[in-house]
Amino acid sequence: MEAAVFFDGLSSRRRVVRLSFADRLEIFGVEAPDGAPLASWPYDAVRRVDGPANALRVSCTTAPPLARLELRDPSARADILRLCPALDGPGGAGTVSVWRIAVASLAAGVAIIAMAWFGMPLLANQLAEMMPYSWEKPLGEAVDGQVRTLLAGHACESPPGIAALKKLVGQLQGVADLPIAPDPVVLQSGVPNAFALPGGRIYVLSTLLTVSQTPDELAGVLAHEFGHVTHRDGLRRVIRDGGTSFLIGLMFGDVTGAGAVLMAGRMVLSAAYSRADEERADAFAVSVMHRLGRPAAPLGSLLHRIIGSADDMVSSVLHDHPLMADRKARLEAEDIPPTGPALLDASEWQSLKHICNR
Amino acid sequence: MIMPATSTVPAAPALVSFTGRNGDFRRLVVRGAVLELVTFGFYRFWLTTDTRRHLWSHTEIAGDALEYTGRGRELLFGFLIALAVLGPIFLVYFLIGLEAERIKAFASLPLYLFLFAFGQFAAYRARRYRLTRTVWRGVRFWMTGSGWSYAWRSMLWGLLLVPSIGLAYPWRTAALERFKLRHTLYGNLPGRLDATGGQLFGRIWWIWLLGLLPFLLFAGGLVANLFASHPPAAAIVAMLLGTALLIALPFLHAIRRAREWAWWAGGIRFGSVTVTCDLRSGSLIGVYWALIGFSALVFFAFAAVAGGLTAVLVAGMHVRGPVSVGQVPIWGMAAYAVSYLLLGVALGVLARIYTLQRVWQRVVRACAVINIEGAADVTAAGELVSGFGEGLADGLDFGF
Repeated sequence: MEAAVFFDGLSSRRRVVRLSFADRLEIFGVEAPDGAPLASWPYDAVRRVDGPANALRVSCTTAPPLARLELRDPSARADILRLCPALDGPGGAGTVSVWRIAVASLAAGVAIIAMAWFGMPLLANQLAEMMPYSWEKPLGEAVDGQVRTLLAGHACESPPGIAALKKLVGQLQGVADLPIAPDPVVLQSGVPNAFALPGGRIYVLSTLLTVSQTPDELAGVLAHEFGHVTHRDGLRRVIRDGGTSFLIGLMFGDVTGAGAVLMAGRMVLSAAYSRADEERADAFAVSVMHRLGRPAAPLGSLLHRIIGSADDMVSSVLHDHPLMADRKARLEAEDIPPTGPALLDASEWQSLKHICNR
Repeated sequence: MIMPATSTVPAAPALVSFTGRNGDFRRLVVRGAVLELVTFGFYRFWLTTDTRRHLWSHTEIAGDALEYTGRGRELLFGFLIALAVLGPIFLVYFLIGLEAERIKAFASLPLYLFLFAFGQFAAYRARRYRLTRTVWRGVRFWMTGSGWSYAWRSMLWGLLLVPSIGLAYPWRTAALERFKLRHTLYGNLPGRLDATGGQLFGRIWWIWLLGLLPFLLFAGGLVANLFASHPPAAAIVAMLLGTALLIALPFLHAIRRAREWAWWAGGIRFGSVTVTCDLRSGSLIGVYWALIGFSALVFFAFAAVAGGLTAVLVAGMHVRGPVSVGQVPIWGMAAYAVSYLLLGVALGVLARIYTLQRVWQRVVRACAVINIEGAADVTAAGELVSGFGEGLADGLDFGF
């Protein structure tokens, strides 16, 4: 059996060698045993590298990086193990400290979560302040196309209904004074909902009109959406969610299936943000309604009618809106008796409710 | 053992062997998977490296084992650099997408093509990293050629796949693999692939045809069902046959993979060195069925745990009565998340064992090298490249 095999790292020549353990490790070719050594390695520069199970494979930090000596003979292997003090020192293939990786990863993980939790909302707020309102328009239009495709409902445009809607929105805008002109559209849909897009577009889904019992209820919802527009919540949410998912995606990389956990994490995070957003929008709605001399409590009743009972079934951690009971209580606490004129008269209200009838 | 270069005796094929033990590899990947969990996934760079170190160092060509010289921290740095590059690209991508959406809803879909091309580029660069970390007899492998030139080839060939219902696949594979091998060198010894798309087609065409059949039969059966007032016997027969073929798909896939490996490995040449591969067609069937069986087991266990968890949570809510807010407690969310992560980790372990190590083992053992003397005195050449390509591939993987 070959005691030792040597590769000089400059060519793939395979040399069977004989070793001499002098003050340095000397490597002689067996074909020319009396000639000059093929290599002479200081013992403390010898490093262990990956090799087959039946051999000890070493390199040398002072030799070409890929020079290799393979020891198959157990006694030669024992000699090397005995004579080389830094076999697993730097520059070799020594095992990495798992503890170091674990601690560093933990630190990185904590830093990333902290950035997602504290840094991203801060960054989103700052960026949203800096962006001119005109930049929201394209963002809103991009989302708009998708919303229209997904909802697939046609816009409701009966002229008396539109006139009533314009009147209602005009009154709200009169006191709310949005920096972007609000642009409400009623869409045919079975879901009772309303939402604001970046850029001022406000969608009211037709079932919400069916469910609303008074103009004040609907006005409250619209004022709430005005709050989102004026606070630029849509824009901030886009920045926040994009940044957070990028940050969290950083961590799990290829742990297969971690995607769903990421999604859950993002939902919890963005729900936590948007609860604050919803509370601010509610407060905005209250102030708008009060300035019009109208009560704010009807907004609470309407919301309760729509999602109040369903709310108990849904995980409140995941739910986007503040707990229904809290919201309703807060809106009722701030309620005032009506002092101003009704926002719409009975016939206008009926036209608006039937805006989808042709 | 191998003769010195001066030998003139025509040598028998040199053996290529795999000496790794299944148990060792299993322990390695299970330990790595647990560490991945503890480290938020960051351990993946070291796990990938350890996996390769194991496979390489247990693969012997003519008695000398390969060596993998890459390190986990190179992959980590590559990943971080890739993030710095990908961050702005994703941002630009997002803005372009926004602009495209404005013009027409969902118009940004073609932009995915760009990211796919980028992924191909990354794959090429990642291969280059792996090759320059692969050492045999003190000389490293390396690679020339441009990642972009590979990416557009891959894209153009990919365009042919759909209209030809997969018929172009053998020629695409051949073109891409030939490109890669043509730009691969061992020291100063250039590599190439002596295998053609026609040869690959000859080996797997019937599998392609059989693979299409279940879908055709299913569709045929459904159509027959739709148009007949009562399902005619022919439709039932077609559906049954389709189901049978669906069960046969893993067999077909395993056979196709085996034949493809044999075709590929048997075509590898470095200078006058020739690789042969007599991987039997059936040799991967057991591997794939083991993967399917264990995966099913893991899914079953996961379903049982998740079901039990849900039952406990629902029971807990009822006790608190209907007035209380139906709130999933934080520990419940955490338990779901942990069991989900465990599922992912377990599937990752299975994938590494069965689609990586077992396949590697069987392919390597089926190979031999003729005229290994052609590599007896190869001059070292080639520079190391960074782990950037691997980082890109990793980054694009989670990005989209």
